[in-house]
Amino acid sequence: MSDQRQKEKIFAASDCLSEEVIMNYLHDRLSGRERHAVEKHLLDCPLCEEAIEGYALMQDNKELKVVAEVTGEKERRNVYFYHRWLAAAMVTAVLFCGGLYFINQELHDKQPEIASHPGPGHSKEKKEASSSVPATAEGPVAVKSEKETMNPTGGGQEEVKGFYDPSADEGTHTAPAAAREDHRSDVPLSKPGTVMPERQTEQEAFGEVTKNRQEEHATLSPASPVYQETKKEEVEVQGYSGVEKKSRNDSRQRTSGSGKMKARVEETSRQGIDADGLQDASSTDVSRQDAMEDALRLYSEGKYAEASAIYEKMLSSKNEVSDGELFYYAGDCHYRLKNYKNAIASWEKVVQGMKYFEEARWKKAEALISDGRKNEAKKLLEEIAAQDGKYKQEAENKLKELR
Amino acid sequence: MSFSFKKQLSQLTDRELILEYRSSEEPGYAGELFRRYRHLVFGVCMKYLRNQEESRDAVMNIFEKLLEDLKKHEVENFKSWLHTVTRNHCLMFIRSSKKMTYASEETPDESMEFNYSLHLYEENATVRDLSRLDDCIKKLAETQKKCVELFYLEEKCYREISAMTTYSMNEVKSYIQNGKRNLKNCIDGKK
Repeated sequence: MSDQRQKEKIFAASDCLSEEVIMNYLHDRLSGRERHAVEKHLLDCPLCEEAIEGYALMQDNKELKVVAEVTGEKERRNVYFYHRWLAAAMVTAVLFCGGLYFINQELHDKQPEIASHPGPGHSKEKKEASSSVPATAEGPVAVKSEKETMNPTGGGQEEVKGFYDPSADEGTHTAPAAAREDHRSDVPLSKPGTVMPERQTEQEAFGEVTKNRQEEHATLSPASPVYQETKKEEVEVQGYSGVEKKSRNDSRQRTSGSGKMKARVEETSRQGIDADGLQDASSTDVSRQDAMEDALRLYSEGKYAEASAIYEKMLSSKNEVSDGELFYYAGDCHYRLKNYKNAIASWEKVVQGMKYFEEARWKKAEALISDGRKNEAKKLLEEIAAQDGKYKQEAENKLKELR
Repeated sequence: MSFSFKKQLSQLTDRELILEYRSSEEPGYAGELFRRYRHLVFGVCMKYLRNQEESRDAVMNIFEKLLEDLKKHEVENFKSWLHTVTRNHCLMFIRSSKKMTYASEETPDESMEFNYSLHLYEENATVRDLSRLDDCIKKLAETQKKCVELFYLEEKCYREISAMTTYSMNEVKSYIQNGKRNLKNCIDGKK
């Protein structure tokens, strides 16, 4: 690595940590690399370092949005929005009632005409009904225009509020909040329009149209139970095919030797064990990563036995593509639990070319010493000292100690 | 405040915001600084006051003070200045309310560490000549050297380093801190 790059790596200044990153760090939701980035920043930034200490002290450092808590903005904002939408709803309701009254009036005016000319009048009524369909759309349209006109003035008011107020709060907070409000307010606003009893009795054609619309909506909406059920099914099917695939692979291996029936019985029982135990830890990369993180956390908390159990589980799983890292940590847990033989066995599996090869070799030498196998340890240390690796110096020192 | 103005604000550096605020006295500029750092100020207040309500109040007070102070004083490094102001505010508050939740013996020690931290802020910007970095790394104590290398060059986190060495997390952290300080001293000495 060039000096320039080393220099950048050690001394580059970075931006401060966001609240989200702080929370994720404290709640252990970051990968090793991300943790490193946070820790690196903390070394350079006393402000962030003290802040994170403060957050760590909060007994209930749940997901509370501390920023909103700090300024009390969120609540104020919600109340503000609530008033705005209430006003919009009221204006819409007034407009809608006005529209209904108007249509009503017109229909009453035309009633005698229809009675006197039943033939063509009938079709005319239908026409009326269908032509008034767009008029119902006035409801939502009116809402929209209301929103549009309300928003800019709202923004103006915010600005006047000045420094600590929403104006200081940037788009990231306000925009989603506004969007949520949008969504919420749409529902109650459109409902009164469709359920108005007057309308249903007086204009059945109308009612039917809205009913159809509601039905359509129900089938399309992701919130509808039908939609959710089909989704669930999909998930189940996917899960099932996964298991099936696995069992097929197994059966191919096993049927070659003994009788087919016997193999099948064995195979199903084996699968049973897999399903409740290890499948989660090894079936996907994501869960593997999770298991690794869990184990590492337990490890750092000094719970070596628990961590070791996870590593061993992962290693015993069929799907595990063993890499040096896993063997290394597994060995380390054994070492700390003073199971030197197991530790040595694990570290022996970290062969040259694997990640942590050098570390494992060095630690193996230590384990050999602890296990009383000094001659083997010496041999290994000599090997380490002969090569120009990370532990050359340490191996030489250790050899001197042993002599 | 228009959307484009807000967008503009978010692109300005701390220094630019301060300069704009000083010349225009438009609170929006200081507001942007507040938005950037309020969660950190809150965190620092929490560390000293250990009370959410008091910390929240402290954040508001600090930024109100900041509105005035930014007009009066030249602030070169906003982050470190804000840190100092926040700490002082909290210590004053503790003293005035005689609420020594923070053990009194710890305070002088803390402020010493703080001076050092301030020093760090400046040094980060001024350290340029690091061509002898390699030599300096070699001169570090073995423990520091190993941790510094694993942390900075191999980008491992404390937890991973602790797992790879036999040091505890706290040891790892202090080896890295001390190693880094020694590196700086070494490089500066050779300038």
